[in-house]
Amino acid sequence: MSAPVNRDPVQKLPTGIASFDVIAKGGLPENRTTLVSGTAGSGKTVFAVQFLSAGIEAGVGGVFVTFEEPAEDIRQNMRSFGWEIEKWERDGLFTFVDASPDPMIETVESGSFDLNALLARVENAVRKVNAKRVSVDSLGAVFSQFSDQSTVRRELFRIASALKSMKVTAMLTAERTDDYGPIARFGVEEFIADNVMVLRNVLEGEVRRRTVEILKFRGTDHQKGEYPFTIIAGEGVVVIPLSAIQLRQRSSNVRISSGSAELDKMCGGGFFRDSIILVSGATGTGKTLTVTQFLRGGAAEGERCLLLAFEESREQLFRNAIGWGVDFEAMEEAGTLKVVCDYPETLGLEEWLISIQKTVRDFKPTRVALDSLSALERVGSIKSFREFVIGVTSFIKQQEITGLFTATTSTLMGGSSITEAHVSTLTDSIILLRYVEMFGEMKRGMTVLKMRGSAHDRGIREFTVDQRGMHLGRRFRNVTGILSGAPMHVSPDDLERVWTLFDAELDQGKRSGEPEDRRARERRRSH
Amino acid sequence: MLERPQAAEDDRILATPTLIKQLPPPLRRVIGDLSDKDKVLLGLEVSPTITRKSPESSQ
Repeated sequence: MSAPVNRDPVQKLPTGIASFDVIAKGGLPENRTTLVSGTAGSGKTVFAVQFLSAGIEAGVGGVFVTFEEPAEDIRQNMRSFGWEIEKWERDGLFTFVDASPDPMIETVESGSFDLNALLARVENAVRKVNAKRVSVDSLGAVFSQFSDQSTVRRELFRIASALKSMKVTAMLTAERTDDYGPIARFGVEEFIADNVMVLRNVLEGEVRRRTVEILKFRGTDHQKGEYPFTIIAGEGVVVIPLSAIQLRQRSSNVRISSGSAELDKMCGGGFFRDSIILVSGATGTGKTLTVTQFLRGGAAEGERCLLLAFEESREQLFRNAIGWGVDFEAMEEAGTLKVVCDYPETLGLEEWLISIQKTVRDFKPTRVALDSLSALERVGSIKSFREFVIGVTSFIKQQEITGLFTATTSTLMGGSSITEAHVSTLTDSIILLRYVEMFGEMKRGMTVLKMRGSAHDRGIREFTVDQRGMHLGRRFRNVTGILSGAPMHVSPDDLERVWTLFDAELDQGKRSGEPEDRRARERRRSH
Repeated sequence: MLERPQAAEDDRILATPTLIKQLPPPLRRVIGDLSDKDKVLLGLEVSPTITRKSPESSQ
């Protein structure tokens, strides 16, 4: 009998906390103790209760040992997350060991003692509900209940090792005074547990940003670094894994229409099914139009399309679409379109990510358009924004659907936006829309800057917009510097030729107009 | 305690040994092996009475 090679002798217990298992590479090490350290308000208690809640959902009993908040407070506080602790207690899946200080009882220490009574209570509770998960909240509060610190230290070590022999997976919380300082207040907490995790709640540019970091998992692997998370009503802790989900992306060769045959041609036959397209341009260059066409293209093929609009109101969007010959209302009635309009400021970026993911999961679209990323840029710090973009792009790719994002550049003529700088490497295709100032007129130009995995038109094409949408014209030949925002035509001698390249009608008008002017001037002179 | 952990649960006891004074109120607890006599007396609120009484009785 050949025993299979056990590469990872430490078994992982999937916690069931959204995405936490991804960064923990499977979950918490089973039958071990994990310290969760964090400053006040970093979400330790919520995390500790959720760890049990996720187990209970799978029918696994849990014990919550509280040294800080009385059991009744916890029952009440956790209701907002949809965790009905009373029901779990009635079902015999959950029990408290309430070791919170009772203000009515005065306690005096006289001589040496141990915490055998507490240990007996924990063991009793574990037996009672057949618990596989135990949360202890918090170790720091044990220290503050007794004056003999060395005894407490010794007893905590004993309890930790007793928990291991009880064959339960335990989560112990601990306070820390500083988000980037010693792991925990009493300096010993991290040695009591096998594994250490840190929750942070950092104030960054007037915005709070929560992150979770796994510091060490004894004898097993985990993702390194800080991962943002959010705490939301009805769900609790939701971790946002960044690099983790990117690893699992596949890519397809199926092409879909952009909604404009001419643009499809420029892209070498259309967008790829599971790709992310960024449309970048100054205000009014035609970003929302590109989005509208993209949605029309999807609806025409009976696909479900989702529009997340952060810049314009519903009415405005629908009116604009009508102006381009697209009826959003009819598309919504047919069930091929869902338009979600919201102010970016109503939620934090982490919550937006969760909310977008939920909308996509519920509506199951094959095309998602987000107009615009730049509007969301101002909601959080640059770091959170980058994480949001990574989160949303990798989520969309994971769903194997197409995502079209827009970004607004701050300058009219060219340059790049913060959005672009953070998104460009994550997107598969980039379409630039630019104003081109030529001879006293603003023209609009479009170019496909990048099209991952495909040949594409490298020219900068002029385009016009009418009631049927976008029309791509010819290339801006003999013009250089469009992208940098300073267009110059290459050979001044060829002025006539450049004119003919843009607009034949206008060109004719000018030419016929000029001699008239000259004649008029000559007439005036002769008078 | 180890035989009847539920009793410890009901009385919310953590440390062993714990001495509980229920009557007369207020409720007092003394934890530890009672080696520090003054602390025990203090904890049970008996020592102030003794110290007050003893000078009286000697007079």
